[in-house]
Amino acid sequence: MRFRVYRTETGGDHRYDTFELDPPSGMTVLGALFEIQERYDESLAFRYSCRGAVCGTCAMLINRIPRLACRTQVHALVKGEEPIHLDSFLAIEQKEIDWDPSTEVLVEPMPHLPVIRDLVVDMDHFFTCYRQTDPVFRAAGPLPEEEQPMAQKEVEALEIYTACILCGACFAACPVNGQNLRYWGPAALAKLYRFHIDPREAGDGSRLATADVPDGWWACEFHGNCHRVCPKYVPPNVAIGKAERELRERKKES
Amino acid sequence: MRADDVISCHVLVIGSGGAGARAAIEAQKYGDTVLISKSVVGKGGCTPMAEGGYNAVLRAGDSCVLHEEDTLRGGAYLNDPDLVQVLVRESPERFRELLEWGALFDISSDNFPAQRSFGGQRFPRTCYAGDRSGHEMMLTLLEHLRNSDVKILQEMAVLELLKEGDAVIGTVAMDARSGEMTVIRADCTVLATGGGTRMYDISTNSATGTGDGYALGYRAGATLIDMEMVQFHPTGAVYPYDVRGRLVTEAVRGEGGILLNAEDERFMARYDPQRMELSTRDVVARAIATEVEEGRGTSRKGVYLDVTHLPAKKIEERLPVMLEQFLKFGVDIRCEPMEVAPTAHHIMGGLQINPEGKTSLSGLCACGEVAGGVHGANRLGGNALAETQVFGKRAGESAGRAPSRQGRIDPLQLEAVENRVERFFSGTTPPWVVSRQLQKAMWENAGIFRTQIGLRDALKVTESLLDVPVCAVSSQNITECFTVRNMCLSASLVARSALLRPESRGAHVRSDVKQTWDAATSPYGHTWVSLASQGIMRQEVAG
Repeated sequence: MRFRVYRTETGGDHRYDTFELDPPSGMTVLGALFEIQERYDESLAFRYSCRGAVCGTCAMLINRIPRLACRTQVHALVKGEEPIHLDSFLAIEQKEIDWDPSTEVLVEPMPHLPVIRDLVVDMDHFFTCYRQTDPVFRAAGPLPEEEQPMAQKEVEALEIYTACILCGACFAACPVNGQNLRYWGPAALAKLYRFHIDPREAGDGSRLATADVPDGWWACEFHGNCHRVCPKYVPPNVAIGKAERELRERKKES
Repeated sequence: MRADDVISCHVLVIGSGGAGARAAIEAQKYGDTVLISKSVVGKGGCTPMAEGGYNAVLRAGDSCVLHEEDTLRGGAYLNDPDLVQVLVRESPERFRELLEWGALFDISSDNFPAQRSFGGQRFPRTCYAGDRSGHEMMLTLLEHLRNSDVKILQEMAVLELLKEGDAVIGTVAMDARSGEMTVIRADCTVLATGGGTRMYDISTNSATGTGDGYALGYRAGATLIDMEMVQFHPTGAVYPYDVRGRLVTEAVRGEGGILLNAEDERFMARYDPQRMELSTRDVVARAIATEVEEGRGTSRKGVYLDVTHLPAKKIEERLPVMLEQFLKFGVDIRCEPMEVAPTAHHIMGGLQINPEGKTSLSGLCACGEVAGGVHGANRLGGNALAETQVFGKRAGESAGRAPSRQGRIDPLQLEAVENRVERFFSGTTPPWVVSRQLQKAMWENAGIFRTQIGLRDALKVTESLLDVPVCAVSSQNITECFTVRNMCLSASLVARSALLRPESRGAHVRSDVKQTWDAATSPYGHTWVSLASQGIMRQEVAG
């Protein structure tokens, strides 16, 4: 099996290197990158940490889809199992390299973020967008002596969003992020929505107001790529839709 | 001097896992705090990977005395009792704090934080957020941290602790991408670098579990205790190769999962008929290793962990990460058993600390897995997350209260570090070759069952690997060279300490030693190693 891997130096041009591997069953893209590093080129740079889809550091563009390298198996990929169909976005449209997805795996850095080296991107912009939402829990009132009662059902509604591992795959797959550098992006908005619906917060709409700006909620075009690429199945598009609807209703009322 | 960038601060925290984040949050109340992390902040370490939960005494029917006894008994009475008392008493407070900061843990039908059973505990006291408890904790801590004035330096590796006389006065670090060096001068430094079981072939740890903190502390002159105490988690994934060693959370057994050998026998009945699958981790790991060794394992050298008798809904709700992880590799745990085998998980030993988190060196505190003494010879599941918060806060506070010192950086020490960097450029062996050899030697000779001959072998290998001329192909690989040296040094400390303890105790099993005592009546206390000395403490045997 051939791996076509994006390579670059800081500030320099990029190229695609080709590596031949004979991957055993169950090998992940991350495992393949380790093997490439050991057998062919030690200088290949990529991020990883937990190897178990929890830390979210190994998100990269695999066959033009943002995915976690540790959770993507190479055989499943070339067999076309678990396909993800996305609305067209910048990275899909790039045609500078031809590759045969039935025999080859194309590995590139995540789009919409500056490349530091090879597969490593600078996540600062992504985290700046996230911080912009002020993602810190704000309790409604003075804290009660005992634990704050909260129904398990409410916990589960929030868990849909707390499952986010901030890997940035949604940001990289979002056609709007590809065009509008100022758009907050799906992960940040989903996180903001999580605080809005947290029953322990005031629920006064202040969280909705935070992103009630053209580059906040309103920039989303509901392509749904964010939900489709999320390794944790978080649906930012649903959160954004609900937030917009609620904002419209609030505005009508007032 | 190439390290021309100097940062000054009151407290420097090394590590951005649960303990480091908590320490930084506390320390910044007292003065300028810098947190330095080898990974993207909050994404390294083992806290975000922790699935099972957080032990806290919350309900009527449970008590601190009970938790304390469970922890001491689980730790084969090698724990430092003062540290255990602090852990148990302050864990509930730290847990409530996390909830106040917005952490979302599961709630039971009585509108109270839900708690489940974990091994070695007589009360279900493990609080959880499904099987992503650590991730939820980490997110909450990071939100809090980002809202504070802590200065964060990420993807930078600490190369060496800097000293003035006997005191630690900061560190020299390197940007992992650019290879640029930075000197950080601090009144007090907190080591929160986590564990190091990546020194073993099969391990649950993330990429950062390379034992850097043990090596940094040791080279700086700190005393480390009980480094032979390495916990092998009984249930790690067996296949495919890429996920080998990956943790299968104890929550699977906590929720009712049973262990079966290839002959379909529930073998724990022969090892611990009372506690069965929820015996302590050391006992279950040995049982599985024995089953496999005696030919009753699967063809892949594992045993079965079965939850198929549980309602599918329960599996989906309580073990979603496990369900998904196995589904990815073609196993639906709702209708077929998982295959598991022991995997190196946690190092109970580490830098000796007092209840304030202070090490034997002035200007250096430690907390979390890099510190020793809390868990004794075997850690109970759910006690590690609690430890990160309880001792993270304490170490952060101690460091914050430390007097300001005008530490003068010793140019000779910096020069020595720079010389090491230079030598890596003329090295010949890639770092991964060294780590592979190390992992194999440690797994074979310093694993679950140990002998003096094997341990001597392991020590010889680790020490000789320390001298291998590791090479850096570019400035980006220099930090890897330092890391692999740290792994070898930490591994040598494990082997040395294991040779110092001529008994089986908790996770440390010397299959070549016959002993007449049990854990409670052992004549031995902590082992210790430092630059100056090493040995094992003797203690009065209780009547």
